[in-house]
Amino acid sequence: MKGLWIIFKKEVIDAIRDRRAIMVAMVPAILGPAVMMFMLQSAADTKGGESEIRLQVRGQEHAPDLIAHLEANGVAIEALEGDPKPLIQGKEIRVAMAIPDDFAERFSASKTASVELFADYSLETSEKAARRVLRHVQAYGQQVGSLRLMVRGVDPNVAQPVDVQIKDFSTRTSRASLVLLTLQLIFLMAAFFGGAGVAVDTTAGERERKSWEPLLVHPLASRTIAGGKWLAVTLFATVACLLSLVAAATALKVFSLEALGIAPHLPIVMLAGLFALQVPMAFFASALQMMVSIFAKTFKEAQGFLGMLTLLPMLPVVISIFKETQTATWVYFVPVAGQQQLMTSVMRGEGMDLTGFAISTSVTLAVTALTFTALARLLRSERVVFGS
Amino acid sequence: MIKISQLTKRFGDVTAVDGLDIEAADGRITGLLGPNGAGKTTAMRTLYGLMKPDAGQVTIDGVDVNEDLLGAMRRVGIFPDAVGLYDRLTLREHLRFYGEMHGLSGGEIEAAIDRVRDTLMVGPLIERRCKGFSHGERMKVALSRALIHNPSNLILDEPTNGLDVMSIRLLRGHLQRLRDDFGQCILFSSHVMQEVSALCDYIYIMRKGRVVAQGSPDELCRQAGVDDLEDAFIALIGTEEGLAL
Repeated sequence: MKGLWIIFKKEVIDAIRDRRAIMVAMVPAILGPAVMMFMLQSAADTKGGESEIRLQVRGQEHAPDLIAHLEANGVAIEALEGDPKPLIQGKEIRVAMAIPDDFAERFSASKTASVELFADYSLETSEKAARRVLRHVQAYGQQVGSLRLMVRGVDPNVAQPVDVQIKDFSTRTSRASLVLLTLQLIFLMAAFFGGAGVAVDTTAGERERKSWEPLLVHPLASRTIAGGKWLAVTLFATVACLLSLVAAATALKVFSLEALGIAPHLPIVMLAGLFALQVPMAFFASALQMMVSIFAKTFKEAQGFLGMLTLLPMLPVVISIFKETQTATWVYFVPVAGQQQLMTSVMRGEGMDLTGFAISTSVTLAVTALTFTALARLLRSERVVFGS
Repeated sequence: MIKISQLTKRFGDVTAVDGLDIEAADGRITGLLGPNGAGKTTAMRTLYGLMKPDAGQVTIDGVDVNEDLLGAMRRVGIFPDAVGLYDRLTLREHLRFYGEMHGLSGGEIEAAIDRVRDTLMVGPLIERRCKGFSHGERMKVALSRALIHNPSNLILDEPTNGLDVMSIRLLRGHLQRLRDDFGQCILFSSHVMQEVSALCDYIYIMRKGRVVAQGSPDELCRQAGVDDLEDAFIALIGTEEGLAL
């Protein structure tokens, strides 16, 4: 026990003094959530308020009522001079409308009065603008039509046998789940990023600065030495996990994402659940990272190894961004993937599947113990210590 | 008391150490002289358990290194071939760390640090972080860490490499004091003939993993039939290659 503490203490002091490495480890966990939410908020702003639309109209004096309706719906009316075709194709304007001279006459006589809408549907902006103008004109027509029927004592519903009501919640929820997945990715990465630098420094670093030999000639079991180092790595990984949770909770408060249907805060219970999932991952990641970097000859090589290693846990998250996945029990037997699945349900507010939690935690801890045992044994391997 | 018996260590097809027998008695400075590549470092690494012998036995104070590594390590101070330091720790922190690993407690450690500081004259370095230490300063840190727990056995693998003359003289005097005052067992390897002849009471001359001659300086001169110890070395090894004056 005392030996563990001696090694742990030394590694923590050594690591804390490496300020740059600490920054690299902790900044993603702290800034990740904020950056993401800032971006989402800006995205929400542009989606939310539709930009004003400009419409060139010829003969607007023939239909002042229609023009007033359009203006009331945020369409800016300008006078159209000349042929609209070159203007639209030259992208000077997006959409134009012509109201013929007989419009007022036919309108008053309750006959179908026509207007011409000019657009180029092969241009996306022109097409979108034309659709919006069309929608407003049609709505106006429908409104007038209903009034005319009512005047004649007919229920306007007669003329509208089917009413389609589109309830669009696709964009909001899909964006909300993207937020959840990204947050999840950050929570997951924190377990891997937080300790990576220390994992490299305590293993490949010892080899690079030739300090394995002097360290290992001391009367401590290799288990104790590996254990103290692992505890130090785990400490930094766990701190990064905590920071990522705090940062996410803070960012959600600062950037209001309620427009996207995201709750303004993460409840403490949820945060606690997420942390309980992060901790075994941090244990596992620390052991695995040390195991991998102990084979590296230099710092740089180890960092390269760990870069690749960090891609692995991202895989299930990335897959679930593109593909709706069903929860499955076997996933709980795969370290990291199990925690990721549980995180999803916790963040959706569905609560923690306790059986799943028990399985994935014990499997992850067992794999961690095996990795650690192998790691401790490697400290007595000539190949590892001397790199021959 | 350090004993190597019938030690053999192979790396693939290469036999680095071939049936080596060495005995370093208490109260004596035993030298291991040989050209680079003679197998000195390999033999020493088996003494601290970092390499497993293919055959033979190594013991420290009678404790078999391969049976009770930690027990053997408690009885010895080691200055290994590699002298890596932690750049972000001060010399005092280094010594505290290694002292703690040897089981010294708080008060004992501070006293030990003072003792080592005074004997090796590293006072100006003690509160400095090791980043930027010169080679000589690093060697001194490595020496202080080998001595921090005042061991009864001391193994030094080429401890004078890159040390300045002052430090070498200091080290020499210190090792002699450890031998005379405390009766320590000191095993010392070098490829520098002068080092060995100036310091050692008993000398093993190694070549290609074997002992080619052994004895006190006088005995070695007699064996080679020359007056001068350096001539004796060259005569006994059969070449000057890999050796330094």
